[in-house]
Amino acid sequence: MAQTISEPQPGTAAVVPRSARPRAWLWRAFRSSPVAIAGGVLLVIMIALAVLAPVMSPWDPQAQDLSRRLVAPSWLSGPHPLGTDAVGRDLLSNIFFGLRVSLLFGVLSIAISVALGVAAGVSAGYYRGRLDALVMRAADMQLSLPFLLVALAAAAIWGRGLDKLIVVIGVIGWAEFARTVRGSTLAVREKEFVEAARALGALDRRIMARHVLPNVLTPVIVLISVAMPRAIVAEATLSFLGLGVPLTTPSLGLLIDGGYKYLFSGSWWPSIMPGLALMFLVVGINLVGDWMRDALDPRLHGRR
Amino acid sequence: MTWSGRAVVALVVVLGLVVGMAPANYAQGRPVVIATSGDAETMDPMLTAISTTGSVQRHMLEPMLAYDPDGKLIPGLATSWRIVDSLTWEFKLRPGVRFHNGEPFNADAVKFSVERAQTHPRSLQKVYVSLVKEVRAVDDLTVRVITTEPAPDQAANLESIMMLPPRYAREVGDEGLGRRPVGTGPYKFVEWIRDDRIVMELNLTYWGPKPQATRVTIRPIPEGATRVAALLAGEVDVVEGVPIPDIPRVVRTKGFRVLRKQGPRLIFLAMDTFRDRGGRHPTGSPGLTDGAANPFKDVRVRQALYHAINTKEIVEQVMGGAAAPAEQILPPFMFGYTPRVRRPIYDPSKAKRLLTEAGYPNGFTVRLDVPTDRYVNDREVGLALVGMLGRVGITVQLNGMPRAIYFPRMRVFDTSLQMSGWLTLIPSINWSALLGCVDPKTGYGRANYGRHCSPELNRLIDIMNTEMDDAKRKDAFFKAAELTRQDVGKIPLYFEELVRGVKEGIAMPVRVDEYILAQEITFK
Amino acid sequence: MTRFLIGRLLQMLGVFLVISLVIFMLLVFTGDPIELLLPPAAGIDQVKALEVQLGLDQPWWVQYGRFLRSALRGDLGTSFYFNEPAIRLVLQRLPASLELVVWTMLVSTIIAIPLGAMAAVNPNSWLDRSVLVGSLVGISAPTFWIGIVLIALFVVTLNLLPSSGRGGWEHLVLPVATLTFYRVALFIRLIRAGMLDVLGQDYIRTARAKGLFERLVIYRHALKNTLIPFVTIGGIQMGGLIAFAVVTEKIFAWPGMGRLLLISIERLDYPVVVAYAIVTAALFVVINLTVDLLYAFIDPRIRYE
Repeated sequence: MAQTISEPQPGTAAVVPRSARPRAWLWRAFRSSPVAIAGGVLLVIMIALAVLAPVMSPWDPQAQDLSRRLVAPSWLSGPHPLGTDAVGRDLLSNIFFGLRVSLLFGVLSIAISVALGVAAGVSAGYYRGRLDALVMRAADMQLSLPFLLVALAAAAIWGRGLDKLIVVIGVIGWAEFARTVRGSTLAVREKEFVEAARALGALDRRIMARHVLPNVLTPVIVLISVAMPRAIVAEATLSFLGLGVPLTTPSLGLLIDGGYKYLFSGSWWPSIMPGLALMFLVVGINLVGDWMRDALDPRLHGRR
Repeated sequence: MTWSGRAVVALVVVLGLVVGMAPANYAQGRPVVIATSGDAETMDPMLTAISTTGSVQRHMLEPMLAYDPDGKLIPGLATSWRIVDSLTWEFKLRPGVRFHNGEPFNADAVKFSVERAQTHPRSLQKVYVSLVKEVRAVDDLTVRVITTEPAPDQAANLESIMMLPPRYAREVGDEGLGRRPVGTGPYKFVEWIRDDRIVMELNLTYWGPKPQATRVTIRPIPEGATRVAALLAGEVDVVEGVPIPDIPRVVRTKGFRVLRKQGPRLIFLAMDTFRDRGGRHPTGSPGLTDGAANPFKDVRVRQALYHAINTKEIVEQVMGGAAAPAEQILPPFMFGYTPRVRRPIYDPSKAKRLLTEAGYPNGFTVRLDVPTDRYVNDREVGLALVGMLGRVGITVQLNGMPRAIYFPRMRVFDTSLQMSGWLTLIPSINWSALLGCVDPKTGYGRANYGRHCSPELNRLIDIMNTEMDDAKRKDAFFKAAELTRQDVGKIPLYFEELVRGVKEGIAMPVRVDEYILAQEITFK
Repeated sequence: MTRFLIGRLLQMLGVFLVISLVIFMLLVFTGDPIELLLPPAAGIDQVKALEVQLGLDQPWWVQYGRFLRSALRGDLGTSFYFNEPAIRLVLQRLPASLELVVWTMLVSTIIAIPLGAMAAVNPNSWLDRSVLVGSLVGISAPTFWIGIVLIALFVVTLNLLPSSGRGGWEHLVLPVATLTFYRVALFIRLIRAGMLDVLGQDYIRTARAKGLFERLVIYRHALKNTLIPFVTIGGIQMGGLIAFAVVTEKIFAWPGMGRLLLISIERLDYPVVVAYAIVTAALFVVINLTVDLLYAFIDPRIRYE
């Protein structure tokens, strides 16, 4: 495997074969970056809260008590550290369970989007011509479909449910990955080593997998670190609009929506708290994602 | 200029300054700004059924007879009306009334308007004139409405038909009618900037009492809390629909008041009493366990649910007091309400006993369908019901849907237990829609989502709809109320309250038809 | 080049067809609007009658066929509720949405380029770190929640700004701020990442040693490197904003297209939803065309035949 460092061209990364990076190095890099550690810790905490929700919740999230509606947060003392919502359910417990749902949602739906989008985008950028036009027009159409309507229709046809929502959002998300990957593929494909590989008679598939794919990875990773939180937020947004998870599934977006109308009369916690939790989760993901991208980025190695 | 000339000029200038600087005499009338929950869709009265739109239109357009704020029919453009025979109503029209464009209001206009409501392809008001066979102009100021069958509610139905000027309508067509309305009302149309404001000014040649508000601006502000904020900031004078959590804020703030009145919108529960077993829709009842016998077919189970729901707590806790518990299907101010029929006492142990008697000592599981964006606090009420029914052993799975999915589903009866609201001002329609046996021929049962059908009740409803004699009708209403109390075809929960916010110094009646009419505003 | 453009135009038509078809099917399968349209007083016989009147009792392909035929005559349907041509209703609200979008993109870009560039040029400096953290928070917070927080702060507590409606600049501040939060963070990261791609090279050290002029040349070069992904994502963001800043428009009651869409979906006003989809599809195609043309401009090796 020849190491080729070519002149920087717009839209591409300089090429370094991936096998040049051992894993041990990765772990060391992680430990040495305060940003990564902070993110990692935060993420681990949020994941733990989510996974351990049934154990850690002081109350049953669905337990209502109409006489204790909109109780203000009691913080470290008291029975309701973060207060209660409009029907008397404990906010802290609901937030734990809501985090669960958010995490599950984020991971699974992004997996679907990436799989679909990268496959489509690389093919489009590599083969050009009709396939490219087809894929890109499909992406256009995908992007202009109001995802509200798709969510609503999906709910009407298949009924509501977390699993169905995951599939719907996952499938909808392919377009942005496809577009970005295609852009980068377009540039990479013109490079000499790609030409060389083809001249040597390598199969297209092989070229795409071994040469094109690694080089479009950086924008994909950037996009994942941005899209996963966005998927999580999309679920919250849909639930906020009433088009997401069913009423009895705990969701941070649903909580925010339920609390929104009480904001102006002074009960800020039902709508602000779940949002904070959501933000912490996403910040954790992003911190780790940031670090990961930086670490995998070959051009920074020289300076560290 | 001569000396006398200069004196005149000086006098004029001084007079002008004095007049200009005089404080506006508010007692004589002034502009008013009303914030509503949504913009008008169209100014064409026959192509809309939305109450906020109707509210705007009724400043400029009028029907022959109107409702007073408490729901009683009063003369409007018609000074009197009477039953001539079982198929004929006669209306005497007010003389000397002109439309804003000068056209005279007369029998021709009535005929034109009613026929348009009947025949326009997109008319949403056909139901109000579906029994009208012919509108006959006896003379310029007398109209006879001939029906195909006895129609005791025909006069009341005509309250929904606005009078339009025939010549103008033919000139400008549908588009003109939808954008620039011309009517007989106390205000004339000035401008309409969509989603921003509608402006109307006083009609100086109005036939009725001169309103105190001389200029009306309607500002649509869809978010409830934002509306209230606009009120408290002094930007608007009247606010429609104060959200429940914001009521204390308005009450507390000096210079503002809250106006409240029990409204006619009933929130109720419907149970599937049509199908025998749980299972897939349409043969099975979708909210019940597959194959299980349908508990709602047993009147004891229905009564048990009625006893299990603590309506008072819902009203006080979930609705913040902005509702009134329902004793029966009709609200107290409607014709046909009887104080003899009251709702059962909240008694969970009795509910459990009834369930055991009916063969459900451990209760059962059922799905409760609720809309999530349609009624005030609908979602919270649904959640509260889950808790209350759970306490007597009924496990409720709450299924909330946005109305776009909800109502089409309800229409095909894809439910076992559901919560809905209903509002009409015509009592016989309340009954026929909620508890009439579902029948495309009669049109009954539009809101009878559980397809409850009692032949005796249906007979009484028929009487309500065809009997022209008031005493006999009242009797039918009372009997129906008593029957339903025992049979529990529906569980009426509560009536939503109408809550308005106003600036101190503004007085206006709260209308049961939910309309806010600037012509009824008085300044103190 | 002309052939390329014509090809795009044809594709645009294809997109319209498919979009309208998909939307149609989705709507029809979701439910029918009659129940929501008619007043409560109407009996079920009336419901059926109106259904027939509006042609909603036909199978979806018949309805779609009718829609296509009217579309060829230029009539894309009349709203059930507004009783006006659906296209007109959507286009009437386009300026309001554009106002939000243009300001958001402008503000985001103007803030992002210098910050992102400076961060990339001084990696690991305190500026870089704070930019990273700040942009991180920016992309982490859900937009609608940011809107709620801003309202809680500036409207409820401080009573400084109006919370809804369109009017003078004070009405623009909060919605634009809400939308900018995310985008500025995204752009900063894109620019920074793209520039770092270039600046991490060994020869940069040499350039630094050589002096200011060389450095500026390299920096400009690096900035150009960010252009392609920036333009791509920027295009997507812009299109997305115009079409789907729904939640922000809802929270601030901004009379734009997004709000119209939300309301129309809520009550199944088919014609408006279809018209909306077509307008946004057109917008996307135009934006993407611009993006692709910009690609060619930026990187001469990318050519379209």
